[in-house]
Parts: sequence; C-alpha cells; structure tokens
Amino acid sequence: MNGGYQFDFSAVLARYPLFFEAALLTLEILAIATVASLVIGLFAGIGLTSERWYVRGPVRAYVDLFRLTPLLVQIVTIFFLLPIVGITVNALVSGIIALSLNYAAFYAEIFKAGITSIDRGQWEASRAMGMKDSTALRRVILPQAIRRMLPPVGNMLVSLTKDTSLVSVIGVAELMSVSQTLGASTFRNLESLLVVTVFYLAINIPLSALVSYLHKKQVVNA
Amino acid sequence: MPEVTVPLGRKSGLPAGEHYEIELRDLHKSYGDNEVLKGIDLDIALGEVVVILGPSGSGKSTMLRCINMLETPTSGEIRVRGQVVDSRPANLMALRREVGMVFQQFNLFPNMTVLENVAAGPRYVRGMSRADSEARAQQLLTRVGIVGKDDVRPTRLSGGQQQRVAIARALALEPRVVLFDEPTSALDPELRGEVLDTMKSLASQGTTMAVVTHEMSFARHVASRVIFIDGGVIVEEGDPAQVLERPKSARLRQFLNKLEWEND
Ligand SMILES: Nc1ncnc2c1ncn2[C@@H]1O[C@H](COP(=O)(O)OP(=O)(O)OP(=O)(O)O)[C@@H](O)[C@H]1O
Ligand SMILES: [Mg+2]
Repeated sequence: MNGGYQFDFSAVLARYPLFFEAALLTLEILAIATVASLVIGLFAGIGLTSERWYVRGPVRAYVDLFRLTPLLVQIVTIFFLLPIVGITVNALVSGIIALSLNYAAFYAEIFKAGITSIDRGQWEASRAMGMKDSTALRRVILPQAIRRMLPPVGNMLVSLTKDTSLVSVIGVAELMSVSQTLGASTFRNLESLLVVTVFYLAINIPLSALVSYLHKKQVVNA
Repeated sequence: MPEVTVPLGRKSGLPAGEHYEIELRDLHKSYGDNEVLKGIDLDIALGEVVVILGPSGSGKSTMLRCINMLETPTSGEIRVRGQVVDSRPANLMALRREVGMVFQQFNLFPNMTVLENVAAGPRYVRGMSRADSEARAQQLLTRVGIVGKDDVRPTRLSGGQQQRVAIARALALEPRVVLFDEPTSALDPELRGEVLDTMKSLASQGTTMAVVTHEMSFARHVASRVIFIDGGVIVEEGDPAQVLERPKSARLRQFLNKLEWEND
C-alpha cells in the first residue's frame, strides 16, 4: 500500500556530488555559527549576571529579542536589514550572522544559569584572597560552570544542525536548499528530501551520542 | 570620624609609631531595616589571637566579613595597619592580600587539585610563576600536615583535611591577619582536633588571628583575648580567664551556661 507512488532515487543519486558539497556548506555554517554563538553567548551570559543595570539591561533586551521571536523571521529580517544599515554581505554570511545571534541568546541563558549555579562560597573564597572578579570568573567559576553546561550546549548543537536548514529561504546552497533545487529539476522531491534526511542524521547521530556520553559522565562524576 | 577612643580590653598599648593590624571604628552594618552591627570598635594587635563568641545571629560572621570587605559596612571605619580601607577596587584587592580567610564550609575550588588550590593566590593574585607558586604551596601543605595529596581533588579528602588545605590556601599570600569563621563547625567532632591543632600551631608561630568559634578549649588556651558579641555590639571583652570564668554580664553568663550544657 504505497498509494501507487514508485520510489526512484536514480536521478537524485546521480547528482550525489551536489549533496556532498551542500553537506560541507551545512557543516561550515554549523561550525562557524557554533563558535560565534558560544563566544557572543559567553559575554552576553556574563552580562546577564552583572550587578550593574546599564550592563544587564541592554543585554537582557538583546537576549529576549532573539529568544522570543521566530528564527525564520530573524534570518529574513537580517538579510534585508544588513544592506540598509550599510553592511553588504552575501546570503551565507547573513545567514550565519542570524543563526549566531539567535543561538548566542540561548547560550547566554545557559552561561548565566551555569554561572549562578556555582556556590556563593566560591566567589567569596576567590574575592577573599584578593582575586579580581574577572580572574575569579576565569579561574574558578567558569571552569566549574562549563562542566555543568556541556549537556545543554550539546543539545543546542543538535538543534543548530537542524536550524541551518532555515537559511535556505535566503538562498544559501546548503543541504535543504540543494534538496529543493534537485527535487524540482528531477521531479523527485520526496527522494531528494529523504536523501538530505540521511545527511542530517549522519551529522546529528554522532553529536547526540556525544551529548548522552557527557550526560552520563556528569551523572557519574556528580 | 570621631576621635579614636582607646578600647576597653586592650592589655597593653602599642609602641609609639606602630599600628594595629586591624582597627574597627564605630562599625555599622544594616541589611535593609535590620541593623546587624550597631557600632563595633575593635583593635587587633600583631600576634594577637582574638576569639569572638556570641549567640547565633548576633553578627559575628558579619563583623568578620566586614574586615575583608566581603560585606560593605553601612558606616564606620576599617584600618589595616593604619591604612583606611575603602571599597575602591585597587584598595580592596590590596586589603584582601593582607587578610586571609578560612570559611566554615572550606570553599576549596573543586576544579583544582589540592596543590593548585593553595597555589591559586600566589599565581593568580600575585602573578607568581607556576613553579614558584607550587613550590610555596608544597611548603604550606607540609606545614598543615597534608602530604602526598598534591594531585588529589579536594573533594576526595576528609573534612578535616579539606579545612587544613583551606588554611594553607589562606596563608599562601602571607597575610598579616587570618580570619576564621567557625572553622570546625562543619566537621564531625573527631575531625575537629586536627584543625584546632593546626590553628594552635599557627598561633604559637605568632600569626595574628580573629576566630569565630564555639570551641571553648581553644578560647581558653589559645586566645589572647575573648570578645562576646550580642545584638550587634561587643558586650564584653578581655583575657580568656576573665571573660570565660568571671563573666560580668547576665547575657554572657547565660550564653556560657548554654554552651556548656550543649557540649555535655
Ligand atoms: N546577606 C544578608 N542579607 C540579609 N540579612 C543578613 C545577611 N547576612 C546576614 N544577615 C542577618 O544578619 C544577622 C547576623 O548574621 P550573622 O551571620 O553575622 O550572625 P552570626 O553571629 O554569624 O550567627 P551564626 O552563629 O548563626 O553564624 C542575622 O539576623 C542574619 O539573618
Ligand atoms: Mg556566622
């Protein structure tokens, strides 16, 4: 009972190099956006823990703006907004910027939660020996916080792999975009989608296994 | 600030031109409407061991934490070796290098080994090299009797060992004064002795110490002065024999009776 649909992957698979190229681009987006969002998220997360309202306020506004609106809307808006404010970049860079800003907002919350989960006594012991807060953060607080953050960060990585597909709307030739183009030209949309599904799984199954491993390790060491 | 007044319990004056290690003048601290410290005057001279007693909530920890500015006093003055302390960061860091602190809960850094914990101050505060700071840390660990545990995480040690590591860590910056806030209260009774012995040996080497504790034998045999705080003021102070054996105030008598009763 397949509704009469005859699967035929031959036309799609004949163009397999295109999928690999697209997969590489997806991985590139994933890697750059991960690094950029973690760096921005670290500083934004520290900003969220600031006792000074004029630091915390603007950071909070940024985080909420990106956390509480749809990523797809952000991707398209940033794509049209950047040239207007005088920044001319291609769709790929624009997409990476949008993904990075969005994920950084979530990482900021994760960093904030990690930092504030560390016992007050750790800050007090650091301050009592004359450490600057920045030194205490770097040498004492963050090393402990980051351990606790690894599982949620891993989950975000898995999620980002999937969300890279959204930049197809601004014409970046990553996996999703290529599957649509190929599907249209071969009239084999479904086959094309199933092939990219395999590619996404190939990226995310190892990532997800890593997350489970980190979870287990954390439980064991707790 | 008003004229400096001579405190009650000082046994002997200072030689001319010398400063007290610590001077507190009319120190007040409030949390909202709750005034916890209501005007504390206290001098601690070089080599003194001052034991601070008082009921729960009387402000002992708050006073101790004001000395190294973990709490910012609402008003009053703190001097360390004659130098007025304020909350400007540079001044604060300088103060804290002079004043070490040992906490009830140890507060060792679990992301570092025992050796790294003790080396952290010299390394990250003084900017000493890794090798030098660890060599110093090793000496200090030997001094507090923690040997062969350099590369162990502090959480693997017994409470008594952890507190001795914390004492070594507090000494690593060669502070002029070490503050202890109930250093044995989180420990099982059988582990308290080793920590008290370590503190006793520091005292005998001339370390200036301010110790909040309920350990009566430490107060009796090690303290050069005992202070009784209640309701945010110093109610009585003097040498241990006088304060502990012949308390003047009803409040202190009551407190000592209760302690004795609890310890039996
Ligand atoms: N950060 C804070 N915010 C608000 N109130 C506080 C704070 N720290 C202490 N207090 C209050 O100040 C009072 C004195 O506290 P403190 O810890 O100095 O007492 P203590 O003498 O050390 O008592 P204990 O023997 O229980 O340790 C208590 O009533 C406490 O509730
Ligand atoms: Mg206390």
